[in-house]
This record gives sequence, C-alpha cells and structure tokens, in this order.
Amino acid sequence: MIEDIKLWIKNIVMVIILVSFLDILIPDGKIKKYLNLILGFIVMIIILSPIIDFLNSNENLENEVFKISSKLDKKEYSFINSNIENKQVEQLSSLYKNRIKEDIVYRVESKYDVKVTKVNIELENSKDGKFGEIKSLELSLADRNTKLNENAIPIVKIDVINNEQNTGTNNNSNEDNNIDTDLRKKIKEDISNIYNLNEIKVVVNY
Amino acid sequence: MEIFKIVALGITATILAVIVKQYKPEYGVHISIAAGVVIFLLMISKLASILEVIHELTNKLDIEVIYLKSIFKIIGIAYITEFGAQVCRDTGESSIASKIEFAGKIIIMTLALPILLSVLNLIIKLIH
Repeated sequence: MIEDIKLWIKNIVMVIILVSFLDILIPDGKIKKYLNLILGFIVMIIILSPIIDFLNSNENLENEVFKISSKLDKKEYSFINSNIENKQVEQLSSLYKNRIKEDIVYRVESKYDVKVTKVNIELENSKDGKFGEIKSLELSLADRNTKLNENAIPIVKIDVINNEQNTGTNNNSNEDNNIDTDLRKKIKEDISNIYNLNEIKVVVNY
Repeated sequence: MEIFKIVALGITATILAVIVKQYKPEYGVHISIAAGVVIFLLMISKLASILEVIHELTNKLDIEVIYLKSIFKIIGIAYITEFGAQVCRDTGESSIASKIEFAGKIIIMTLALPILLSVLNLIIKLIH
C-alpha cells in the first residue's frame, strides 16, 4: 500500500515537472491555450489513475483512449472512402462515355461519307444491373465537305424507352424534315444493332 | 556556439530581406521562409535528443506511451501551424493565417478528443 502511494506521488511530481518543461517547448501563439488544456487533462488522468485502478481493475483507460481514437479514425476513413468511390464512378462513366463516343464516330465516319460533329449520350445511372446502359443517343452529322460553320446538321436520336408506335411518329417527323432519310435510317439501324439498342433511342440529325 | 550561428543567420536574413524588399517585395517572403526553415533544421537534432530523453524518462515512470505520443504530435503540429501562420501574417495575409490556425486547431482537437472523451467517460463512471 505504502509502495503504491510512493509510486503515485512520484508519478505526479514527475508529470508536473514534465508538463512544465513541455510548456517551454510549446510555441507562443493562439494554439498555446489548447495545448495547456490537453496537458491539464493528462495531469488529471495521472492523478486519478489509482482511483481508476481501484474502482475497475479490469478496464484500462489506455484501452479506452485507443478504442475511441480508432473509432474516430474509422469514421474519417469511411467518409474519405465514400468520396473516393463516388469520384471513381464518375471518372469511370466519363471514360466509358468518351470511349463509346469515339467508337461511334469512328464507325459512322468510316462507313458513310459523313462527318460526325456532335455525339450526345445519356447513360443509365442507377446502381442496379442496368448501370451504364445507353438511355438515349443523339448524333449530329454533316457532309464531309461542308465546313463546320454551315450549320446544316441533322440529328439521329435513339430513344430506348419509347415503344414501336413512337418510332412511327418519329419517322414521320423525320420525313417532314425532308432530309436524307435513307442515310439516316441506315445509320440508325447500324448503331442500334451494334449497341443492341431500340431504334427509337437513336436520333440522327443530318 | 550554436546560438551565435543562428542569431547571425537571423540578422543576416533580416537585413537581406529588408534590402531586397525595396526592389522586389515578393522575394522578401522567400528569404524569411528560407531563414525559418534553416533555423529549424539546425535545431532539429537537438530537438530529437530532447524528445529521446523525455521518452526514456517516461519509460521509467508509469505514464502511458499513448499520451506522450499524442502530446508530441500536438506540439509538432502547433509548431508547424505557427510557422505557416506567421509567414502568412508577415506578408499581410492574415485571413489565410487564421485559416491555417483553424486547420491546426481541428487536427489538434481530433488528436486530443480520445483523451478528452476517456476522461469524460471515467468521470461519469465515478459518479455512477
């Protein structure tokens, strides 16, 4: 018992000397008060430690500190993790979109005598099995010889959700526009076949 | 004596900075940052030995390493924060300086929070 008290007093004296020594080391400024607070807490823990040991011998204060700090770390990392995951998905989908765009441009330009000026793709964003499926596709085409400034650009639109009745109306409207429907149809069919899309999902402007 | 070296370095850097500031004010900041870093590097070996001694001392005592580690980390963060904040304040950017201090405070708080919470839990347990 007396040995314990001796050790306790020794500890208190040493901690107070140590803390006053550390007090010199702490830089002057606004942060000093926070440091003093924390040092005060540590002195408090050291003074209270025999009481803690006496009251609950099986639980250790250091373990508790460790547990709490690991809990905090876990929360922080899970937060960072979710951020990273979102970013990754975004990057992946943009990369995927660009690849599809390049692919479509290459296919159309190599097969037909047209120039693709614009490709608009809408992708499925939901996280179930449909993720990445093409919702709709819009192509703007121009004659290979016409300059970009001449805005005679037709649009080929592919829309997945509509059913075949809607295709009929789409075709009608296309005919109204009096554009090169044959070519448009061909491109539409081609793209729909390659990407396994409903033709309605594809809109070709020419 | 090392202190002569450091004081000489500091005074030289100050004079240089004052002279340079007349012609190119933006380079004065560079000189003050460089002087600060050099002085810190000169002291780093001594600081390491001090920390080593403190570590040995606490091994003999009954103080847990986990407290000591967090104290040293906090002191290091405080130094770096103060250094950055003072450099910013010297150039007149006191708003950036206060933001650096804010970041330092938050990091210190996250380090100190486990100690704080465990003390709190302990007190609650004692009351029960």
